[in-house]
Amino acid sequence: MARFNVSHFLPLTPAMFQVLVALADGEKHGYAILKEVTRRTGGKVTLRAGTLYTVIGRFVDDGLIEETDERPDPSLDDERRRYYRLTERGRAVAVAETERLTETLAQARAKLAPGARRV
Amino acid sequence: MADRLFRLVLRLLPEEFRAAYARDMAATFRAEAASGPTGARWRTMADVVRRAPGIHADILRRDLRLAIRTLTARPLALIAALVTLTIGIGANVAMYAVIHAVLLAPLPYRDASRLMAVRETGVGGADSGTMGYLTFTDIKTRATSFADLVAASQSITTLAGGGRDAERVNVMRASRTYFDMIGAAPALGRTFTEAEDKPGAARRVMILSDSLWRRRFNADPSVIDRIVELSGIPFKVIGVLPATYQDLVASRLYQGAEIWTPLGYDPAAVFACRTCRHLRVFGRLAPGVTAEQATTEANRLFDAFERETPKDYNQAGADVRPLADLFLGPVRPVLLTLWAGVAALLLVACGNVAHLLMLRASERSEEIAVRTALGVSRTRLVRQFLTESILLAVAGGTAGMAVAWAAVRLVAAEGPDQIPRLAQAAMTVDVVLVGVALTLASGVIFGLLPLRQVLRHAAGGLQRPGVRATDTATAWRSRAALITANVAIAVLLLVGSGLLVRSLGGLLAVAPGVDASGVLTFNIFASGERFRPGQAANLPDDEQNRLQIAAAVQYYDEVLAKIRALPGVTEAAATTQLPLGGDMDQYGFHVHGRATAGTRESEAPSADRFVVTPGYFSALRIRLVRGRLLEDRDRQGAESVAVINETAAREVFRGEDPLGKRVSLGPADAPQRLIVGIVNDVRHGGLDAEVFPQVYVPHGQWAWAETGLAVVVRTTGDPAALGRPIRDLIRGVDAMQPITNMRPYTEVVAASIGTRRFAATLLTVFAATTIVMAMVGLYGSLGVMVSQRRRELGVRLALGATAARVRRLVLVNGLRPVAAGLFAGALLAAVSVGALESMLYGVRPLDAVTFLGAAAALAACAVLACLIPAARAARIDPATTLRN
Repeated sequence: MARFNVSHFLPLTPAMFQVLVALADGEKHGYAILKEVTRRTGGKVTLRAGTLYTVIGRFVDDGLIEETDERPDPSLDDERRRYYRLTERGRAVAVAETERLTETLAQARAKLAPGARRV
Repeated sequence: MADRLFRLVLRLLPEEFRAAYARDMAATFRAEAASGPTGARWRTMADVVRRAPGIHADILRRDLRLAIRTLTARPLALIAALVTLTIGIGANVAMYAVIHAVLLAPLPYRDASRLMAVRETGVGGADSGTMGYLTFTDIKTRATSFADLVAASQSITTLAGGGRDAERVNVMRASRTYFDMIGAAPALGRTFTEAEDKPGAARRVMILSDSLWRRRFNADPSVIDRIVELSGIPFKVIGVLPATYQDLVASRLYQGAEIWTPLGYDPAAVFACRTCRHLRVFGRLAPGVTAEQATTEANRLFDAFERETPKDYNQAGADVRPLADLFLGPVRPVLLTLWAGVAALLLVACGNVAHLLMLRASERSEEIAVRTALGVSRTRLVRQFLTESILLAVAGGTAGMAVAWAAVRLVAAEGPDQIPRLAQAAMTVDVVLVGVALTLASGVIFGLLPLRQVLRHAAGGLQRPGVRATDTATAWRSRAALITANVAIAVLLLVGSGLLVRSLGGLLAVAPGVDASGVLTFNIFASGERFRPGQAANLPDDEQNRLQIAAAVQYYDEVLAKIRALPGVTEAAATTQLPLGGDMDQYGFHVHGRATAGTRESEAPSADRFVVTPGYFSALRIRLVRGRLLEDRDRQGAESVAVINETAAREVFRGEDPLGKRVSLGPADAPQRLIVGIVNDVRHGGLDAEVFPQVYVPHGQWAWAETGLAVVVRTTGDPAALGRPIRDLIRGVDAMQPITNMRPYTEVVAASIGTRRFAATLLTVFAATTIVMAMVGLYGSLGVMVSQRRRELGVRLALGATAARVRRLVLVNGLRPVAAGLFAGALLAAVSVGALESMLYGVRPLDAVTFLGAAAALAACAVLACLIPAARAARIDPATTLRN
């Protein structure tokens, strides 16, 4: 397989980034990812099923996330649902995107801060 | 309800994606619907619809990436497949472009299928497709089958003035209604009036082609009514044809005429006689009349003509055929044969690529089984394989289209002039669309063939890893069938090309009756004021004619004498018609003192007439059989003489001695000429055409001054090197006279068989390509078979089989399908070569030499292709094989 290069995946679309972040703290099924994104962003970002599964499909193909065989207690959840978790690659991509965004943010702040461009 | 709708929406997604995620998506949708607002459901559905194309594109991208990776893993096989397809598709697209331009595009006339060529037929030289003026006027008056009937002839003129160099321009003289009949109207001005289609000064009007108008008159619209001199005679410009005007009659039959003048014949003129067969006649069928009915009526009329003036006709009849047949009839079988050839080539190409893909499928059997075991669906596998095939086809098709583009340009520019409209062949939208369709169809065809194997491997599963003997046997059987098919098609093409090549060889071996080597030929002219002495002084016509002949003879003699004085020139002479040059002129040939009634069988009413200068026979090395040749002393004032060919002596005089007999050319009452010599036959109409009676008349004794002659110069050196000194020399004699068509005479002879050479060359190239493809396929298959049966062959060797025995085993395995192919191909060829009959010369369609030769050549190639895999098999080391 070709060598893994994080920069090939950057920048991520907001939906992609949100999915990776949603999986950062443990495996989830699709609906749980949707809920997590809405909760964490206070409803500012809402993913829909079409977008979500497009992202999931692509991430699975690229090896950024994987399906997990472990299931919670069937009484607690629908066993037919698929669960996904972040792979090492996925985590590396999420971290790299976070750093990229932080850097962009820092540069923007430095430029836009009051008094940054006085003549 | 919403649930069901969502499931429907999910069907927009690719099957593979649905299999992985649809259930989850539906669950998510349900959960969302249970907890969220109603609007969210619709937004989710819209989101799926919006994302569907992207998901499809993603999968296609992935398939393509995988296909490229798989294909490039074996670069040699990939290159072989691509080259094969490029040639197959390229040749087909190019051939379609040619056929589209030549055969399929409608003739450029209004309601062209109703336009007919009306030709006189007969025996003894009356079958050149032309007729005399009086015959034409009689048909026009009496026939009811034609709504219109026109006659045409040609002349060549010098256009001077306007401060430009003198230029030779071909003129088509046509009946008044010619343009109306073909449905053409001028862009400027008008066409001819009835008064202009009569003898006299009124007929001196002309219509210009768009190209001549632009070249010569700077596209000046005020050119209408301007007086312009044609060879010194004033003509009034009355019209200019549009740029879009195309006229196959003018371009094919009248050397690309650019000026049209009215026919305006005087029925009493010497050249208007019934046996002065030089007019071509065209007609538009009357409404409701068929070509057959018109033929019947015309035949009845010719019967009547023959009864009325029996001396002018001999078993006369009519041939009425669509104009399209006249132009395209002779080339149709050539092009259709070549089309069949390229189609066969593409079939072999597809077979070969299918072959390569089948080999790959065999090699990938384990990979396919593993993927199936891992849950990859059959649909997915099929799509993956088809993606590979179509990718291959698209790459081959794109390269093929580029090859076709180059080939079409080459053929349009360099193809034989004998094929009408070939120069118009181009990669039009139609042609490109056919190319695209062909590409996709090829991809599907050679993609589907290996699929059975893929599916079998998929069904085989993992419990049977590796290649089993039965799998190998089945795969080998399908590949052997392909080898058989390829060899059969190769035999067919090789037999076809072999027959054409043998015909060409036969034609080249035909003695044309002239020796073309070391001869330069070109046309010179005698036009302008100085060649019309006596006209200004208003001398009587006879006297004017005599002076004009003297002026022309003196001019040509001076030029020829100067050419003869050039170093290296052994002879220089001139003729009105260059043998094999495509220009025919037939005259009535009447033996004086012979009663016509009752002896019709022995009459040859027409003969090819050549007006020549002394020295013509030695310049072309035409052999004197008896009597004497024409000499310098045969001039005006001396007794009129003629020389005839052996065919005339044999067919017209039938055992009598022609020498000392007198003949009249044209009408029976034309001046008599004494036959003084007999020379050998010259193949004037074509190397494959029948030789007609021929008669040679001295230039100094012809009835009028010739305004243009073809010169033949024999040299001891390279004829082409004489071009410049001859041009300088003629310019020194009269700078106003143009020189045209300068080329070695061998080129004229070669051009006369251009179409045959074109067909033979192309078909040979197709046959050779097919053989290479078939042999590459055979070699590849056998190689794979040997490596797959390595273990078995190793065991045989270990058990004591000799290397020779193993070698023989592989050879027999490879040659068996070849033998079947040879047999099938020979059968196929035997039933289809009949289609070639019209293109053959001196060889029968079922020519044993060609059939056996083709089979032997292919068998030899096949043995060569089998030898390397057989040798490799014999070198297998049993110990190593068994250990592995």
